[in-house]
Amino acid sequence: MIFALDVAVAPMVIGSLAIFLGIAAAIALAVVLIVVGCKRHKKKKTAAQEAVKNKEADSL
Amino acid sequence: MKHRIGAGGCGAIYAYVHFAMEVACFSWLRSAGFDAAEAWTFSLAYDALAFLPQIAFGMLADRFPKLRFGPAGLLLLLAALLSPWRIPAFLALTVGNCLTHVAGAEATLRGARGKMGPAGIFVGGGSIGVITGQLLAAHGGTLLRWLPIALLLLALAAVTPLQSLRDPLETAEGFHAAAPRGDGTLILLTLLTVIFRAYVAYAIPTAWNKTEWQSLLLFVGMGLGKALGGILADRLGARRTAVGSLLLSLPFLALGNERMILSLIGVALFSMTMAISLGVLVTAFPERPGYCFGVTTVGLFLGTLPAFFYRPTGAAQTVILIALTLAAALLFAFTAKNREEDK
Repeated sequence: MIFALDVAVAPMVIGSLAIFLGIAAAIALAVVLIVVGCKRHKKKKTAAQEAVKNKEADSL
Repeated sequence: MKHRIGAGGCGAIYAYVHFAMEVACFSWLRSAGFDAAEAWTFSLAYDALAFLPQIAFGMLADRFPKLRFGPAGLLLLLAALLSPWRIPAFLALTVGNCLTHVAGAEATLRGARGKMGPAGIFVGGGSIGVITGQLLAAHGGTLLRWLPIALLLLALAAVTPLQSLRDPLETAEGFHAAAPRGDGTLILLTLLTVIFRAYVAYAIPTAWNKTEWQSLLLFVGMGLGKALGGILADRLGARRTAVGSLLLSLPFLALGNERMILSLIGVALFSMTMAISLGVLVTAFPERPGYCFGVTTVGLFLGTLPAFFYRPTGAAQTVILIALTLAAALLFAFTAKNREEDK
């Protein structure tokens, strides 16, 4: 029960909880960045391919 | 006209920088006076803060290639060593570690001209730095205070002119290590291989490792394996080297619990795939070497994280060692390719 938490132990529990939550948030952020980086690359690659296709069509 | 640094030379210089950085970090961490409970928490926090943000710093380095992360990281590390306050020093150490890692990986991959050897040499330097830092903390005496600072100053002197010699817009073109798979598939499966390999490192049975000299040999074996892996991948092919070294490492690791030489050979073979994971990713994302390096460091952290809560022993150790090593080999067979397959 949270209300029965020993006053001396509370800072330690809160500190550990903060570390775990911080790490979980950092992992989530890292995963989001991996996905964003991959999607951006895909978008750029598709745009470059489209540009090449358009150039080829123009020259024809 | 910009002068160009040779690929091997760049790898060697950043291997030294990596070595100096790890000596600084581990000598500080081991001599900071943490008690057992604090040591566990600070180790976890250190791994999280030093590994996870590298994806963000890597993406920044790709986006703004003129940013000088190398000198900035080394200056932060120096500030950490000179700081009288423990928590600010700890934070400066982790951010400095991030920036220096990203700068080293970026410069090595951009200057590698498609070779994985320089990246292998770069990552290999770190393993030797980790154990040197730990030994320095245990026996360094007055050297403990000054040697890491001297090593960092030398690294700063090496990196600062190196960054201005480099063309910041050079991409990491020329790698041919990835099989023709979708970008997302390559990212996900390479991330998995790094996670598996990172966790298996804690399942390697090394009952022979009882003295500091033996620990030193273990880390040197790891460092040599990482460097050799990149060099061999350039000669034999990425897939052949990755799959072959992982499969070959299994009998040496499984039978090497009490036999140091067998175990050292196994550890060196097992460590060979570090540069290959990076080579696979950079083949698919040549204009984003910082991002690619960041993906591998996120994988390293995710693979290390379970080891803070559960380290396998006995039969579980063998099962995890065999199962995850085989899985990593299988994933490399699917994601990596040999250079001659292009022809």
